[in-house]
Amino acid sequence: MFAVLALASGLVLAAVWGLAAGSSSLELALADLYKVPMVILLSAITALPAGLVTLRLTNAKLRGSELAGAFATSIFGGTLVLATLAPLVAIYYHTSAKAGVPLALGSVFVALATASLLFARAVSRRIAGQPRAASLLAVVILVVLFLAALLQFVALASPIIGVHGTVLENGFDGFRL
Amino acid sequence: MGLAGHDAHYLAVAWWIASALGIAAILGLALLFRRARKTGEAEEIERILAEHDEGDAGNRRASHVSRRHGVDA
Repeated sequence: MFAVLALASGLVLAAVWGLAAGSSSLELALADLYKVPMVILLSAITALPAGLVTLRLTNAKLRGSELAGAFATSIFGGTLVLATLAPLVAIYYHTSAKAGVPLALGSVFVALATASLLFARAVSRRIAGQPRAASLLAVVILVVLFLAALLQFVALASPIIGVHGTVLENGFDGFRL
Repeated sequence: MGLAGHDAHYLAVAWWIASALGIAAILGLALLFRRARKTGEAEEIERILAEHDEGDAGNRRASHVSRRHGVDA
């Protein structure tokens, strides 16, 4: 119940950030109100099964419900960071041509880093005194898959940041390898 | 051309299908939450009843002792 509440609250906080990130136009702001939470939710749904399968295959001590709970609370933590930075994103968006979009992108990376750290910490606490490698492998796989899915969902839902979009709007294909 | 060479219409349809899945997931989470809340309430009621029963048993013991020894009313 707590995990569902955390996830739902996280989606609301993500919508707040979406409102700020899309505030360059009313249409984009309203679209982002729905797009940003949906992108986060879909990425989480895409990544979660892989984490649960990893737990099972590695015979980890952590239960699937505990992994899902820690994941949901870390999403809440990350979106809380996003919502905290939302006013700053909004004000720079309207007052700075140079810093608006980079700041919005930066807030996303800060939120992702925070959520990943919170997730690893929550899982570490739940398996204190037990073998950690298998459970932490599930965390790593879940985070990597979440980021991979997020990249493509952001591209699919673009534009999210700014009317003209960002470098992320081409998804994985946008990276020069 | 957009992602992977698909046109805008194709990508829009893909996004709406993904969104429909997301909405289904939200409905699923809402159901899960409702069920968890009901289970929580049932457990709380059982706990309160168990505490109440224990309290009654304690009171009965006390009155039995007091009756036997003539202490207390």
